[in-house]
Amino acid sequence: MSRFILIDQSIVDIGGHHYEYAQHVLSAAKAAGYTPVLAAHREFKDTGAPWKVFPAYRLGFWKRMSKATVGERLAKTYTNLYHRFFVLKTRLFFSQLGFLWVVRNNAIEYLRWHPFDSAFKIGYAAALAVIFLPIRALFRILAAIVPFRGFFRQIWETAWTTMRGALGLLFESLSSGGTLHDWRFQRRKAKMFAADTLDLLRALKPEAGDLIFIPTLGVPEMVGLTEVWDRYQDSMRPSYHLLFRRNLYDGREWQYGDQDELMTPLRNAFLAFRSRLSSARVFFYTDTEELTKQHERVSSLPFHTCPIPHTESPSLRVASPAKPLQLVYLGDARAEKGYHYFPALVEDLRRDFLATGRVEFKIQSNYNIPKGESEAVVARCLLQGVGGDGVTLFLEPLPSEQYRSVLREADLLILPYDRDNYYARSSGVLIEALTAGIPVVAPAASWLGRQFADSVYEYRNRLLQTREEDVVPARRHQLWQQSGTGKSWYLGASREMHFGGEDRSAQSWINVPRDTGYLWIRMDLDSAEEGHAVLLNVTGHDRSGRKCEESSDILAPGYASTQVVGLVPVGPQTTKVLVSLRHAFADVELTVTNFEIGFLLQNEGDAPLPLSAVGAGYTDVGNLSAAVREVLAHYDHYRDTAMDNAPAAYDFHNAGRLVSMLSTQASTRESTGAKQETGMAKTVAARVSA
Amino acid sequence: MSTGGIVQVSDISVGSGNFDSLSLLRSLVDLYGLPATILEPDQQDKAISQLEGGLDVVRIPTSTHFRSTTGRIEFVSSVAAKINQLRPRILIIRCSWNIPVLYRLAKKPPLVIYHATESTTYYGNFDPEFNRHARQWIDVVVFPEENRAAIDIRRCGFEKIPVALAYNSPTRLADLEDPIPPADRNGRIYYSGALDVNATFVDYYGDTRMQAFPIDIYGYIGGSEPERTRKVLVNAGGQIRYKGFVDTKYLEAARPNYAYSLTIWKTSNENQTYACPCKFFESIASGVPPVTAPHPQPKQIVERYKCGIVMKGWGFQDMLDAFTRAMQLYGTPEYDEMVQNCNIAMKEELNWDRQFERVRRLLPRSI
Repeated sequence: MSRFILIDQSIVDIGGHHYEYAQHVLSAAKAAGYTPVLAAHREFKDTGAPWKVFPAYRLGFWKRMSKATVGERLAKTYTNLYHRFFVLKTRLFFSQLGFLWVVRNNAIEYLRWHPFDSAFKIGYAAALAVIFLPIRALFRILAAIVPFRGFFRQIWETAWTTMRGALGLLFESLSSGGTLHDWRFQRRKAKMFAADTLDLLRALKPEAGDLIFIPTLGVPEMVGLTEVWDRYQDSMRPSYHLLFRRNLYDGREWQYGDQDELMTPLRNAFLAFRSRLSSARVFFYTDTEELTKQHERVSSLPFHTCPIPHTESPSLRVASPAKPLQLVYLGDARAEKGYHYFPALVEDLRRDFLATGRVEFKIQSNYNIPKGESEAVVARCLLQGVGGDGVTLFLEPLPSEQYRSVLREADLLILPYDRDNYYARSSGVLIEALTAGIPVVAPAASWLGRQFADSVYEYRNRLLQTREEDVVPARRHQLWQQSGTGKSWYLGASREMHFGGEDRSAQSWINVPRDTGYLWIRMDLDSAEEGHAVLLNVTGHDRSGRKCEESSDILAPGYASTQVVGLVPVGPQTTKVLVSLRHAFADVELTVTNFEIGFLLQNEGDAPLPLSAVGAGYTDVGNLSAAVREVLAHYDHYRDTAMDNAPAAYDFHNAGRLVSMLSTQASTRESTGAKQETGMAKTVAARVSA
Repeated sequence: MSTGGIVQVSDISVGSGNFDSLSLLRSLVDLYGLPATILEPDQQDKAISQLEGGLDVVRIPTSTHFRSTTGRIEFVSSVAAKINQLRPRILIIRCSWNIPVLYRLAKKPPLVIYHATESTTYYGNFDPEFNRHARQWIDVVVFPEENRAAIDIRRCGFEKIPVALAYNSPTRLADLEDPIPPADRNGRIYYSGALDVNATFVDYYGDTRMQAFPIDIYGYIGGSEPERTRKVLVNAGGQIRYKGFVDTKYLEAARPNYAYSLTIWKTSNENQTYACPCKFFESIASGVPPVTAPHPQPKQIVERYKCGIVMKGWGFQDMLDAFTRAMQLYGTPEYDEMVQNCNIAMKEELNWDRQFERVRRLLPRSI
């Protein structure tokens, strides 16, 4: 039987995300007829897993997992010595001696203004400081009569500069933030990965039908692999499947061009790797479409997007009216995951939801690094200060069973991630929630928001369809203007619009029909593939022209269509709205087509409609509380739509599909390295610089 | 002067803007039943306060101005000598300016609380390093604002020290009074605090459009261009009145009669960007809805409780728009609701009792 060998050098125990991932994949591999094998960190203790475990690796993926080197211990000693020196220096400075030192050049001046002794009793000592002046003068005379003073000064300065340079280099090399230190760590990582993989494969004796999957790796591991292939021929028999999960670029596709030059070292690493592939069968993956584009752009290699495997099939969920709704955050406590927004969210919901027992918070709060990021430290202190009133914090990493239990019991998952950091990167816990039918709150126009954007727009379209008789389109020839440029135009039959950033936003005043409950807007984004999004602002004015309400929404397409649909509530006192459309992130020109805008009527006294489905995407963190309130106000709807969405989400994201994808790739004749340029991203070929 | 009690080292004379620290000190006195001494520098224009409730104020003179380098050295040395003599059980260090005191102590008191009321860079670029190397002596750090907390924790390596966030909101629940009914107010906006064309937008009052609003301005004229500031204030016509520098008691009595207060600082440094002034909370405690620039903490509080108005930005038009809205709302049920919400905000979160609770849970039961 062929083997499915999963290598994750970061697995040190059975808790945590890495083991969870491996567990799902290996179980699916077993179900698919493979013999599963796990290669983990040397600290991993086999606890009766139903597959063979090789604790082979000395160094994990993360720098913090490595033991301190001699250099790092020396750097720590230096830090301790410097600390003692600094304390001594400060003690001396804030003493009579320090005072004397500061007044040394102006002792007489000081005494003139303070002829009598002060409480500090410095008078006599200050008088003594006067002696400093003639001593200094004497040294100056001596210095003046020394011949070739300039020459000696030059030697001194050169020696001093050289010494500082050497010390600086040493510091760069030893301190954990230094470039040299980082470079040395990467090399060490590559060598150790190579050595440990070599030992592993020599023990395993891999065969042609075997499949090696490495779900956590970077450039050092890639370099290490080529060394293994060079030194052990049999290591090229199995197929290799390498999964990359980190961002390469910041921001979105239209911003990548400015960063291409920074990618040169990475690009060179990929090209060098490709040239050493020889007859090894290697396949490349990421777990999001956006990351695939990034990696193809940099590497000139074809990448595939694979599903997220650590999901469970959906099961029926019923919220018990007697029990508070469980609002859950899972993941470690760090700034890019928005952990530091929870204290404000908890306070915002305290009066209406926490104090009334309608909701409870369960917030995972273990730090990602030993000390914790400062924002997370502050936030955790604030949350701990809440004192257990409906807020449970998990201060340690959750064991798998407990993690799954908390997730299963969650009624709403709140993931206030950094929109830009998570534009391309995946969130495993979001997929776990969606496949389990749990509603979510996440930032709009992020990878997270995009996972349910199609469902949201489908819901809104369906709403407008089923309530067709209440739909009132805005006047056909609506006047639009660009506030900053003064341009104006009537929206004609083409229903096409152009707008950019704030100064080039498209604005229109529209009268609101009686009995209006909502404003809707619909359009196709032409540049949908490029990470753009539209910011819709609606400002309501009453009969006397006073502003009475304001709301905004970010509309970014999902995967199924380029269409976006906005739905914004309009209050009863609003008689006129100012609608403003602009690019959500920058002053980049957008073209939208098939633009439609109108109103949805609603009888007075009717219950408000849910604005979204499956989950709520928020515009910015200031609207996070509003998004959570929206879901809580229509909880049954969000739960039902999330449950309806769950089977499709699970069909896409499951371990069986991942294993099947890898197997299918493995059965292809040629590997990625030997593939022709035609398989590569179209933009990449043009971007290869001379 | 007693030994074995609580000592607080202040960076300013008591009674001139450090009510937050006084509240902290009083709460500790109540909690542990210990006498307390405040060691303060000599601000020559401030009289030595006579405080009730077992608080003793000792003024430490320096032969040079206390804010100069030599003045700081003198003050720190003298204070350290005094603390070594008093041997307190609890030491409160107010502000980074006093952190060097810790270096000169013969023995660390059983409990050292660092009340980080200003950003560590406020008093100079060397202060973060003073803070970093002083961590070994600090048991609890209290910050008034969470962004400043995050920045200073990272800068000074305070991750392992227990941290509490306590707003600069000194009013206790027991001292909370019912707000003056909106109908009985004077319909004016007040601003009290530093007056500086370069730091608190005093130049806005020189514009005739701003002078259409009824604004009373209290405060001490200072900063880098006091003459220019004075000229703007004295010549401000329309409905703007400069009322001069008044004492705290006068302001406390006058404040509840106003319709709104104004909170705004130029974001030229960290401290001012993440402003969390006492007067913002005092305004809410008096039932006077604040009009605030979008400094993170005031903005968050006003939006959470709907107890005031948040400007869109720091620009002239932003202030104009906010005042316009304020005047439109005054006298309407929406304004009445804002006043009520001020009271709700105080009762639910902003009272000092609730703030101190965040600190208390980090402290030992007995000392």
